[in-house]
Formats: sequence, C-alpha cells, structure tokens
Amino acid sequence: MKPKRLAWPACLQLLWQTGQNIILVVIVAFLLLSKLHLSDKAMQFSLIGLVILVVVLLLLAVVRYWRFKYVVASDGVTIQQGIFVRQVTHIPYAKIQTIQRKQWFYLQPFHLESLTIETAGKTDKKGEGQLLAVPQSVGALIEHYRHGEPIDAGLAETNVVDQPGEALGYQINARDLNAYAISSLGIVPVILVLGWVYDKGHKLLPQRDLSAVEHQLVAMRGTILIGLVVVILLLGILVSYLNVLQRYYRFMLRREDRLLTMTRGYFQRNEVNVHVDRIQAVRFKQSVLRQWLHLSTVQALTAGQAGEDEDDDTLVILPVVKTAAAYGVLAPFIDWLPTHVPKLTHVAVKQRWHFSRNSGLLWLAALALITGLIQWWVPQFTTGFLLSWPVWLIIALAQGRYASRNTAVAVMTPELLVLQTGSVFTREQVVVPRVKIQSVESAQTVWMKKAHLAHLSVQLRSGNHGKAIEVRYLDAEVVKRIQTWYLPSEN
Amino acid sequence: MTEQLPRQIKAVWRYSAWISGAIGLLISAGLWVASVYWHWWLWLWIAAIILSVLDVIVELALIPYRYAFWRYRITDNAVYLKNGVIFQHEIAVPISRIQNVTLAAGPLLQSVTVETAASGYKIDGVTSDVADQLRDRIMVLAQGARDEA
Repeated sequence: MKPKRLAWPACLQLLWQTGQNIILVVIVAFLLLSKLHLSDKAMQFSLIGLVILVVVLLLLAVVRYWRFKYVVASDGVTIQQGIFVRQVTHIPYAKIQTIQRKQWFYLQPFHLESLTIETAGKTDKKGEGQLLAVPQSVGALIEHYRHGEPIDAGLAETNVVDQPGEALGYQINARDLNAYAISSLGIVPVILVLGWVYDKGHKLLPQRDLSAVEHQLVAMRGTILIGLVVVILLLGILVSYLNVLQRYYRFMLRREDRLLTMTRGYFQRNEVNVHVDRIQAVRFKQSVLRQWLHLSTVQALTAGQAGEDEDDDTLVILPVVKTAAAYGVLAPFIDWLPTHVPKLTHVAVKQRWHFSRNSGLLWLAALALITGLIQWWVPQFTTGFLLSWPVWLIIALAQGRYASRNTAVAVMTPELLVLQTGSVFTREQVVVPRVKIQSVESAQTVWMKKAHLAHLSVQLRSGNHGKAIEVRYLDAEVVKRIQTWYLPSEN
Repeated sequence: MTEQLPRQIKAVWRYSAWISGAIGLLISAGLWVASVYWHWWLWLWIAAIILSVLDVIVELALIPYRYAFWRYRITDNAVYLKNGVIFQHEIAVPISRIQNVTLAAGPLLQSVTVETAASGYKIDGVTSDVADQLRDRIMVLAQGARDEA
C-alpha cells in the first residue's frame, strides 16, 4: 500500500486545533499592545506582524496535514509526520495493546473515523499512533492483519485453547443505564434537597420582624438567589445525567476470538478493543448508592495505557450490570473468570474496630489541623467549626465501619485470587490470576503479631506503572495461606 | 538458607544516621539565620534542632534491632525479603516476574535491587562478591524461568 494522507476533515480538525491556540495568542497580544502605549506607526506594524503570525500558524497546520502520511502494511502500521524533521513511527501489530476507534457524528456520512493505536511503550502520554480521520476500511484492515499475527509471547501467559470464529455479544439494558446515570450524580441531589429544605424553611419562618419594606426586599432577594441556585443545580444535574446517558449510549461488549471490543456513545461512537491476555485483573466496583441499587461497574486493569479520559489505566468493560449477574455475564468473555460470586473470607468481627479507630484518628488529625488554620485566619468561625466535629467524626467512624465490613479475600481456584476493599464508601472487588501477580507483601506490627493479624498487599501491573492492592487486618493464618498459594514449593 | 546482612551494614546505617543528623543541623542553622535576620519564629529552629537530634538517637538505637530482623533468601523460584522492627514486612517475588537487577555500590557495601513490572525491592547491603553472585544467580534463574514459560 502506498503512503496515504488523512481524509480532508482531518485538515479542518487540525485547523480548528490551531484556531484555538490562535485565539489565545491574539488575546494575549492585544492585552500586551494595550499596555505598551505604542505610537500609531508601531501599532500598525505590530498588527501587521500579528496578522502574518496568524496566517503562518494556519499555513503550518495545513502543511502538517500535508506532511502526515500513513501506511498499513502486512507487518505493521507506519506513520510519517513532522514539518521540518521527518519523524517515522513504525508499530508492529504484535505490539499493539488496544485500538480505539472514534466516530463523531459529523464524520459518519463520509464513513470516516478517528483511530488511536496504543502500545505497551512507556514513553508517550498520548497513543503512539493517532490517525485523525481515515476511512472505516482502514480500521478493518488493521484488525484483519492484527488477527493474523501471533500475540507477543512475553506478555501472553495464559494458555487457553483458542476457539476461532466464536463471537459473543452483550448490550447493557436501558433501565440499568438510567439507574446508573442517576446514581452517578452522587452528592449533588443531597445538596439540592438541602437547598430546597432551606428555602422552604426560610419561607415558613415566622416573619414577625420583617415589618419594614426594606426587610421584605432583602428577604425577596434572598429567595430569588436561592431559586437561582436551585435552577443552576437542576440544570447541572440534567446536563451530567444526559452526559452519562450519551457517553454510554448503546454500550456493547463483544468478543471475537480473543479480542474484546467495547462500543459506546451517541454523538461520538467510540470503539476500544483489548486482547483478553493483556488483562491483568478484573475489578467490580460499586459505590454505596449502587450497592443499594444492586448495580456494579466492571473495569479491566491492563498493561499499558488503555482508558481514555477517566483513570487512564482502567478500561470500562461494562459501565453497569446487575451485581448478582455480573460474574455470569462476564465469564464467557474472560476465560479465567468464574461464573459465580466467590465465597469470601472477611475480617473477623472482633477485629473490625481497627478500621474505625484508624479512620477516626486520621480524621481527628485532619480536623485538628483545619481548626488550627481556622483559628489562625478567621477566629470567629472556630467555635462553629468545633461544634461540627461530632458530625465529621460520625462520618469517619461510619467510613471505618464500612471499610471493615467490606474488606475480604478469597482464593477461588488454584489460579485465582479475589481481593475486596472498601474505601471512601466504595466497594472494589478485584479478581486477579496468579500469573499476573508481580509480588506479594505482608506487613504486621508487633501488636498485630500478638493478635494474629496481618496486612496483605498484592502488586499488579496497571497502565505504565505498578499498582498495589492492600487488604488490611486479615487473619495472619489467611495471609500465610495466600503466600503459600502464591509460591507453593517453599515457605 | 536464610541469609543475614553482613555486619558492616551496621556501620553503613550508622553513617547514614549521622549524615541525616548533619543535614538536620544544617537546616536548623538556616532557620536560626532566618530568625536573626528576618525575625522568623524562634521556636522553629529550636524545634528543628531537637527533631534532628532525636532522629539521630532513634536511628542509632534501632540499628541493632534492624540488623537482627533483616533476612533475605533466594531460592530457585523466588526472592524472599523480611525486614522491619515495629512494622514487619515479608515480601515474596517470583524469579519469573523479575525484570531487572540493579547493583549500587557504596563505599562499604553494595545494594541489590530487584525490579518487577510493578515495583522494586532492595536488599540494603551485601559485600560486592555476594552482590555479583546474587545478580548472576537471579539473572540465570530468571532466564530459565522465562524459557520455560
């Protein structure tokens, strides 16, 4: 295949990007010029210079588009770019971690899309290869070549027999997505309700003192203000609700051979895929709110950058699924995942107080610090803040209690470990295959030793760095068992 | 065969305690100058001196315990580390997960760091002969483990 240019909408996109910078430059330039008190002549020259600069920048964008060429060959994708220094990037198919295909609605009539190719390389924050607008056939061609190639043996450690031609699909249902969108608002509705209550209370208060017209005006202004805040909040909620809906609109998980593909989005159709063997661990995540709604989010921890704008090292496999069905739904997609919820070993009831104590102490220290600062700057608020201490401490203890009740581990099969933690009112259950665990650490204080307790910390690869998952205050016997499970012959 | 660190490590730790004490005193001196010239709080440099002296005392006092609790073991499959006095850590790293081994030479001893794809672990100090042996052994074992996989 001959080197090709991107489709023409890419040129517009590059111009738009440059345009944003130009606006910034022009604003700064005008600010400077207005401060400088130049003579008319000098001013004229500066303005001409500015116009030339803008034109040059726009031309450069066009040149950049002109110089950008790509080749999809049988051995890999090659990208040539650079205005003065020609830069050639070659990406072999075996090294590709994920391919993201994005299609804005305006590209759809032209059958164009944007491709981002990610490898396990450590260097760049962005994907190694980004093709702004190419025909959809290019993505299909890359996928075709990619399938034909054997996967890099160094990273692929599981030996599951391939069943070629098998194709699976799962689409999230609209009702769950709706519940998910509502519950992702979190704290905002609470604020709204509080605002509403305050507003009502304000109106119902006996208005004995408000005899003068002045007073009434002040009160009215207050009401208007509160009304405005409520409207803004409502709008904000609506926007964020719709945003979640459009982002995960028609979310579809598919599997062909050993490739998982996630498709989603309304205005921008977004497709990401990842090889099953690249998945380091699977995480089931739910906030307290979603625990009540029996909904979970499923994410994959992968080596190399995978995600987009959320946490970059996690890939959303399913934004929302009924908790009880989660394992069953996912097991066909990820070979090593069991079909049922594991039976977990929790922290002993007698030992739960450790969590509340730690959380309480931590919050006490933070509160003391904040109180100190308040006393320093605005001493008139100190008493008020001191009075709020019990509220914060109750939250702290509740958080500790929540963590203690949700902390657990389980060795499921000879090859799988399940770790569950409860941080900041969010429960995370991580299922990790033994071969993906980089190392295992245990830690105990002298006092914990006496009480037969230990912390367990499992090191995983996630994104371009390590990730530790720590499960605290487990029975030392359980930790010992997991260490022996991890490295059987010794210990 | 569980190994203890060589006795010289105590000297290394002693020196590092003195050095951190010296740095603490330097900072205190800086704070004292600041209090003289720019009228910074008086208690700041006094607190700094007390803290650095305390730091040296605690570090020196803990050295025999630190030494007594430090253990490492290298088998055909894994590297095991055990350390810590009040917070006791136990670490297991399978040889097959080791990506690279780094040796760093100090004036008395060498440290050996094994790194996985996720994190790195340091054996604080070994004699240079042992360090070379360890590196070669781990690399040979790692190569073997890679080939089998």
